[in-house]
This record gives sequence, structure tokens and C-alpha cells, in this order.
Amino acid sequence: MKYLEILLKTKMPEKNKDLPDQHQTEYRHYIGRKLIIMGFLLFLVIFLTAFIVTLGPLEISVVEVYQILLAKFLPGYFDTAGLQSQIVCNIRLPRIVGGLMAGFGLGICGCVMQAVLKNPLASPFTLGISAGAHFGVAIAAVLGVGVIGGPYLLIGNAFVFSMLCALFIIALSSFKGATSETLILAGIALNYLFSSLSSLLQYFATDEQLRVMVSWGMGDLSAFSWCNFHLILWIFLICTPLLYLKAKDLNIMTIGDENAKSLGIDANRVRMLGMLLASLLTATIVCFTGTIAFIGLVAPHMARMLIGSDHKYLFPAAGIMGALILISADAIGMNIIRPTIIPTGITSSLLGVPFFMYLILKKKRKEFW
Amino acid sequence: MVKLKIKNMSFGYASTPIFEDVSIDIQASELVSIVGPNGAGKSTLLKCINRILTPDSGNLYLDGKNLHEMRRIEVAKNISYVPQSSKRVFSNTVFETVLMGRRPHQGWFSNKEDEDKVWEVLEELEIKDLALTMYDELSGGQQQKVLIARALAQDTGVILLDEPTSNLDIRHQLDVMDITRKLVKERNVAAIMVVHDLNLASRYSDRIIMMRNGKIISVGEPDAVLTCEDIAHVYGVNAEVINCNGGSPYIIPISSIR
Repeated sequence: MKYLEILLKTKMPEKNKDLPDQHQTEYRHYIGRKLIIMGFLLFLVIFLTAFIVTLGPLEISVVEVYQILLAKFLPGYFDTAGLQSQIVCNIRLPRIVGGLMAGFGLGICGCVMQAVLKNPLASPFTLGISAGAHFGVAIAAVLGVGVIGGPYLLIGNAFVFSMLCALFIIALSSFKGATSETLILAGIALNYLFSSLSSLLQYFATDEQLRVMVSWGMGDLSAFSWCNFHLILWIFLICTPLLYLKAKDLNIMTIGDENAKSLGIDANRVRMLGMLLASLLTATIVCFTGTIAFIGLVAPHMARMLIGSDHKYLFPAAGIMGALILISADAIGMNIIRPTIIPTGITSSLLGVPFFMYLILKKKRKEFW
Repeated sequence: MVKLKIKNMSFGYASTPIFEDVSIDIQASELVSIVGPNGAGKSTLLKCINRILTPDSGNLYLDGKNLHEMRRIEVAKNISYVPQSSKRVFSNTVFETVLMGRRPHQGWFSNKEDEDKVWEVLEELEIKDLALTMYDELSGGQQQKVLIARALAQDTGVILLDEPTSNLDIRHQLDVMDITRKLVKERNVAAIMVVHDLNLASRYSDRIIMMRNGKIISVGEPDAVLTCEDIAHVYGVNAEVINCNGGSPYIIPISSIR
């Protein structure tokens, strides 16, 4: 009997190495499904981009749009009209590419913030970034005071004040005994503080100044152009890979600091780094787009429902999801009651909220919190 | 061979000392239980050993090397920790949870080897069929097994267990203790376990450390430590201790001492 047991024990692993058993096959299918979903999301983004570029207040036919684009990349083959070319290349294209980047950025920042703060309610704006940015804009608009002058007055102020808020809270996190709840509470408090300060300025503002502040607060993609594009691109190219490199640590962060430490992760350092990079990227995006708050909260949740909580897959999926929501919302806002353009921040919430509600209540996938 | 040596370690929050001047030697393939009333500093001691908390003073040696000079990731390669329970906001599959145990050993890419290791561990604990189940949909006993699996995947010479049986039914209590005991003996692991059930401690431990108010009251084999006098002194409980022919002592609590 004893010999039989030993025989069985030694036989088992060999069999497993040659022939993956049922559970391992299931697991492979599970991973395969995730990859298929990712592929589908990617396809959807490309398809939508190609579709949205043909839409706009000025009627330009699909064929013409693609002629213009081909002419841009392969000069000399096609003749294109000047105005139409101008619209497609310098208005529509930067708007869409900017929207893709902003949406992707907000999606991944939301994903990182939810992981490092272990809280499903966290978003890129948890650290008071949007209120800080809004206050910066208010100062620029009402008092005309800015950190940088010239065309970047609003953007510069928004960036500086939003980073100020974020850095204050990140500094708080280095205090002994600061839990993620402390940080979230501090973020909410800062949000109130800066909102009141903005309201104070609003109270004294003229109609024209008020209009600048209000329209900025609604969130809009029209600020993107090829001249300011490189600013956001660089920050994006630096922050995204650095955050993605931490995908495994983000997984572990969600199970709590004690567990993380026992698995060799310096929880406080990962949290500070995550918040710093996410804030930097969010602040950069926000100073171009204004507050588009909804996407950063919702894109990670939607991605989580589709693909599970493993950040190796969740991180890119949240980004793609964010990009998808933002460019669709923008396209709808631009075209639904032409020629009036509804700000993107409004359409993204108006369309996204009911869909999100539906997903939460339906809760089909078990992956969701 | 001394695997883990704790020397004159103290820890306190602000002005309240939690434990003081604790020294323990633990051998390889030895299962040591720490028992004592609530607030004796048992769990805090475990967390200090694992550097989840930093002790105020004292030294900690693992295979002769000072643990406080190691990087956290190096510590995690040598010491694993099984928490009492692991609440989570976002749910992971069992496979993902166990794979986290490989973190100290891997770089950015999780290679085939790590996944094979996880399968091996799941097989060993007979929970392979749960691989794709969500961790928080499992029963308490299964969750505890998964956390042990995670520690096994971590592949360390020392395992710390914080009340691994405290919310399990009797069947799962025995299962978890049997698994732990088997690991210690087969893999030559040193295990330190905080436990409330004196009878489980008595039955499964090689040695028992009894603590009260942050101090070690007695150390030794179960029948030397679990005496009526010590239990009365440490817990304030009158208990009957039954020693039946050379087996581990069996404790029946009778009444608290007023």
C-alpha cells in the first residue's frame, strides 16, 4: 500500500508536464478569452477613429476625407481642396488623437488610483486635481495672473495648481499612519476648499470671465492642436510605461499593505509613485481638456467587468475603454445638434452614466466588485 | 540548526509597549506555536519578524544573516506570511492570488516556471479545481488554504501563520493544521504560528511559547508549557490538563479565576 502511494506520487507530476489537465486547459482558455476581448476593444477603437474622422459640422464625404488623409501621408498622389484638407488635418485629426490620448490616460490613471488607494470610488480626481486646476483657471481668467504668460496662461495655471493639490496629498502619504482612507478624505477636503475659492473668484467675475471659467469646467477637446500636442505626448509616453511596469505590484496593492509588505512590496513607495505619475498625467490632460471626471472613474470599472482584476490586462483595457468612451462622446456632442457643439464632459456623462448604471445592476461578470 | 534567531526584540506604539525583550530561537523543520491571551503581543511579534512593522530594538537573524539589513524583497524570498484573513475590494481568481506569492522571485514577465509552480502548489493542496474561482466566493476554510498556497508558492524557509484556524470549522481546522505540519516536516520549513486553541497547539506543535503582556512566560514542549499553573497564571483560567500516556496534553477550561 505504501509503495503504491509513493508510486502514485512520483507518477503524477510527470503526467502533468506532458499533458495539461482539464483545469490548466480551462485556465488557458480563460487567458485566451481575455486576449480576444482586448483584441476586440482595440479593433473597436480603430474602427471608431476611422469613422469619426469622417464626421463633423462641415459635410465632407467619406471618400474625400480619406483622399485628404492619404494625400497627407503620401503627398503628390491626390489633389485636395485647401479648406477641407485644413479641416480634416488640423481640426478633426488633432481632436481625435488628443481625445484618444486623454481618454486612455484618464482610464489608466483611474485604474492606478483605485489600486493604490484600494478603493473603487477613487478616480484620477480623488487628490483634488480638478478643483485645483479649476481654481488655477479662475485665477488666470479673473485676476489675469499666471505662472506662464501668453497663450499658455490658462493651461499653465491649471497645471501648476492641480499639481500643487496632488503633491500636497502625496506628501501627506509619507506621514506615519496615513492610510489610503486618510488620503481620500484629504483629497475630498481639498476639493471643497478649492471649489469654494473658485466660487469666491466667480462671485467677483465679469460675464466674460465667467464664461471662460464655466466652459472650461465643462470639459472639451477643442484645445488640442498640433502645436501643443508634443507637451501631452511626452508626459504620456513617460508615465504610461512606468505605470504599466508596476502592473504586478498594483495587483498586490489591492490586497492591502500588510500583505503587500509580506510579499516584498514597499507599499508606501508604490503608492506614492503611482499617485505621482497618475497625477502628473491627469494634470497634463486636464489642463487641455478641462474636467472630464466621469471617464477616470468608470473606464476602469467597465474594463474590470470585461476582463477581470489582473492589472496586466486591466491596465491597457481601462485605457482603451477610456479612449473609446471619450471619442464616442465627443463625436456625439459634435454632431448630434449640428452646428452647435455640446462640450465633451457633458455628453460623456449623459451617455456614460445610464450605461454604467445598467452594467452595475446587471453585474453579469463575477469579476466586478 | 538555528533557522531564525530573534534577539532582545521590543516593539511599542507611541508610549505603550506591546512586547519587550523577546528572544527566541527556531530550528528548521520545527513548528512553534505562540499562545497567550488577547493583547499579549503575539500577532505584533509576527509582524515584526516579517518586517511588516519595524521593531524599536533588537535583532533578527535568518541563517546567520541580519534580516534588518536585507531589502524587503530579499526578506520576502525567505519569510512568507499567512494572514488571518484577507479582505479585498476587487476580487481576484484563486490562481491570481496564489501567483502573487511568486512576486519576490519574478521580474516583470511572469514566466512559465512561475505558473507551473502555482499549479504544483494547487495540486499539492488539492484545490486545483478552484483555480478560476473568485477568492471571495470561497468559504473561510478554502480561503485559508488559498492563503497557505500563496505562502507555499513564495517558496520560503520560514512561514509565519497568524491564527490560521480561528474562523474555521473543526474539519477545516484539522485540514489546515495537517497541511502545515506536513509542510514543516517535508520541506524542512520553520513555522511560527499564533493560535488561540490550546489543544490544536498542543497536538501539532514541537514547541509552544506562552506570552502575556508582551513577555514570554514559558517556552518548551507542549507538556512542559501547558500546565494548570501556567494557564491559571497567564489566562486567569482554572483548567484541567489531561496527560494521557505520553500523548500531547489535553486542556479543558473550567472557570475563570475571579
